[in-house]
Amino acid sequence: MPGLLSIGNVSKSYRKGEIKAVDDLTLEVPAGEIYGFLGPNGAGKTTTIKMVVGLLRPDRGTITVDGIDVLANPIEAKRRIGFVPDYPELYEKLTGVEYLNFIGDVFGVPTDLRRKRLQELLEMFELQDAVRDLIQTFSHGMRQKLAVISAVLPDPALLILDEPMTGLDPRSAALFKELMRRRCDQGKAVFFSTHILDVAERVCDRIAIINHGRLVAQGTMEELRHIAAGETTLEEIFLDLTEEKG
Amino acid sequence: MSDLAASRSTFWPLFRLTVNNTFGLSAARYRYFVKRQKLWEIPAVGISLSVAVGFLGFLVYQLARGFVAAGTQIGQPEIAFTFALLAVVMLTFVSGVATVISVFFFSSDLGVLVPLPLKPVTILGAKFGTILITEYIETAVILLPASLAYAQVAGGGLTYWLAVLAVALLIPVVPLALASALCLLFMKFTNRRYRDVLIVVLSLGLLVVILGLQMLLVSNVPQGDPTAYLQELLSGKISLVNMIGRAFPPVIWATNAIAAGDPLPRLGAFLGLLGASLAAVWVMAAVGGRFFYAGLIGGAELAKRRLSARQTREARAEAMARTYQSGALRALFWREWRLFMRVPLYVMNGFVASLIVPVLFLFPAFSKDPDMQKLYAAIGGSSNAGFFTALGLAALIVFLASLNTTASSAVTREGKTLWISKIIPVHPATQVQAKMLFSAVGAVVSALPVVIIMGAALKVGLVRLVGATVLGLMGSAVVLSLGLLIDMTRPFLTWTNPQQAVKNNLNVVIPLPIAIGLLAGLGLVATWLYNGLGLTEAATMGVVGILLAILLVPAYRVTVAAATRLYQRLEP
Repeated sequence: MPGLLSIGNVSKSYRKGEIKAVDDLTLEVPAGEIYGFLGPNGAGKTTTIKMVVGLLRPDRGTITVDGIDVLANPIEAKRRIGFVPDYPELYEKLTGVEYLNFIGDVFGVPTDLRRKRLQELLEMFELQDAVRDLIQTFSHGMRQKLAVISAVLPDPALLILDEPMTGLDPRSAALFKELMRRRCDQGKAVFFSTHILDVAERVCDRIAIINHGRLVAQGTMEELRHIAAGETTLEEIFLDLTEEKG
Repeated sequence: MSDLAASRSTFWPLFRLTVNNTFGLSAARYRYFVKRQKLWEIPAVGISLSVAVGFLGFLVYQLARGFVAAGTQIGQPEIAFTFALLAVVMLTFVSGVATVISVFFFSSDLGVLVPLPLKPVTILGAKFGTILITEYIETAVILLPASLAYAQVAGGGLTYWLAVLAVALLIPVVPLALASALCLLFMKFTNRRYRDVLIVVLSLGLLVVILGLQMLLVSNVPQGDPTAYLQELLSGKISLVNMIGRAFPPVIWATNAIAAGDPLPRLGAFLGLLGASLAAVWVMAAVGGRFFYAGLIGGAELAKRRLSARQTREARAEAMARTYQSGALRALFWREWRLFMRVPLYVMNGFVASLIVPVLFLFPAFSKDPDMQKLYAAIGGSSNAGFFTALGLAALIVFLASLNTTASSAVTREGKTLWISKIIPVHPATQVQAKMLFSAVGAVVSALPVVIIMGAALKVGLVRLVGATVLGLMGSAVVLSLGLLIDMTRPFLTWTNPQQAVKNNLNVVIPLPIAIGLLAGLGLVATWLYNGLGLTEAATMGVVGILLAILLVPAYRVTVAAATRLYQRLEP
């Protein structure tokens, strides 16, 4: 059975092939898993994520979400994805609730369900009052929370998150980790990139490490320890697998 | 190093950087000369700009020739300069308000600049200089044709053109500096909750004052000899020029700096203008040094009202009550509407420009000039004149649509938020339809004042009026479709403040030459059908309508079909 997210032999280069951002990447995220995507700066994490959510087109390879090809049937694929970018640029001149309603409308979330989910999520992230203000008045953390709420509101099968903990206060980060786990327990999946190795180690069911656009390792923590013989923490494994040799 | 020397040493690098960033100079150099991509854009944009600027310049030139000819009869052709310079000053002041607020307070680079060890006045100065460069384009479009018209009559040597250049460089400084000082005070002392509305109201208020002045001028035109009137106008017996002279002497000094006969009075007038410009910049710098950061930081802080538990419950319940499902197209339309109408600069550039033109056209309609009254009577009485007036009305609607930036900046305005449009599960064709729908509403809003007021003033019959409106809106749809297609093809997404999205975006200029070409072609066809082939009025309008439909269907289809390909290609 294919995973909720399947990336098969995907490559992407810039400047007419001069810079290979992603090189023949293959990985699979099964339902029910939180999948961490790690790599040094410029390793190709954000490019991979952008290809999955439809912001970039791969040069070659296939990407499917819940069995749907994101290139052949992008609209159906997007219905199954909730996305939080690393620095969410939102509509400054909309209020928070107007933005969430817009997302609800384009994802076709019915009124009753929308109200129920919004009440729960806004309370969880303590945005019940601020949500009536223009987004231009929001702090970075509040924008991040709004982006997270908008990604979860349509209840997508797959959450794609690029550095989701950036800007979240410790309480919100803890609640968010709990939310990710709850979603996976319901048979959904989360695919997220992060630089916070502690979070990845504690939260993720499986982890992939990418360097220079190529997958260098993937598996559970146990499997990674086995690959990087002798190393015990994710930080040590990460450094061992991504350090420049020779 | 002294404070002044330190400010100078930081000003120029910052000014160069701001100009580079605002006009995308490095990006253009990289694209065209390093990567050699999209080289076709250079001649395409050059031709479009030449046609648009040439057309507007030609209109100004014709108007200026009229003023020069009338002024020559009383030995004072320089009146053309007084009015041209007054137009520059007013335009700079009115458009300056929205632009200054956008650039001074809402540029995304402020987050980088403010923490740097720069004085507020240095940042303000760099941004002021950048806006000034944009204003020089408008100044040139008005002042150059007026100077040509004057030179044809009064002659113009090297000194004359040097004087024109010096005045052109100085004339927008005073109104822009005053608009800046006003905005700095406004942002410091107004409640941010209502600022956007206040900006639009303030700008519209200024427009009303300016248009009111013009109305005063027109309604004061006495019956009889226009030369005598001009003479009174110049001698100060009639209030307007006298008032301009008293209220805003730089316009009179600028006129004299170019056109006063002897060198000494010219030099004196120029020094007066220079002094006024320096004084205005000093005032702006003084106000800015004191209030810029206060307004900026005050704007970034969130002033929360303290609500009681009951008020909080009610407010939350109200927010939830407004939460209900609607269709994707409707949601996208309202997104376009809100994001446009809540940015004063967009409103001022998008709609208000389209509303000023019909109002300006109106003044002659209410003029007491017997010649004008005879003309209107002739239009009302003659079937031919009435028909061509209706066609002119249709052409005016199309012309206004070409000035409307709603479609030609629709993708550009998304800027860094384009990622949202790309990840939502809505087909690009639907997204483009929502943009078209919003632009169509804009075109109707622009057309309504023309149709209602001019139709009534020119006594165009109801049937003709309906025909003209239908043709005008069909032509508008063609122009708007192509405007949107152009902006999808080459959007400018990396803007850092809304001013760049509409005022530094060449895409908004391109619909004008398209409209001119369309109107010229259809005008010729209509004249040939009506006068040459002797078709009836209804048949002529019908054929023009069919031709527009033939153009509209593919224009709309190409635009919607291109959406998928272009949205995929756009990489935020």
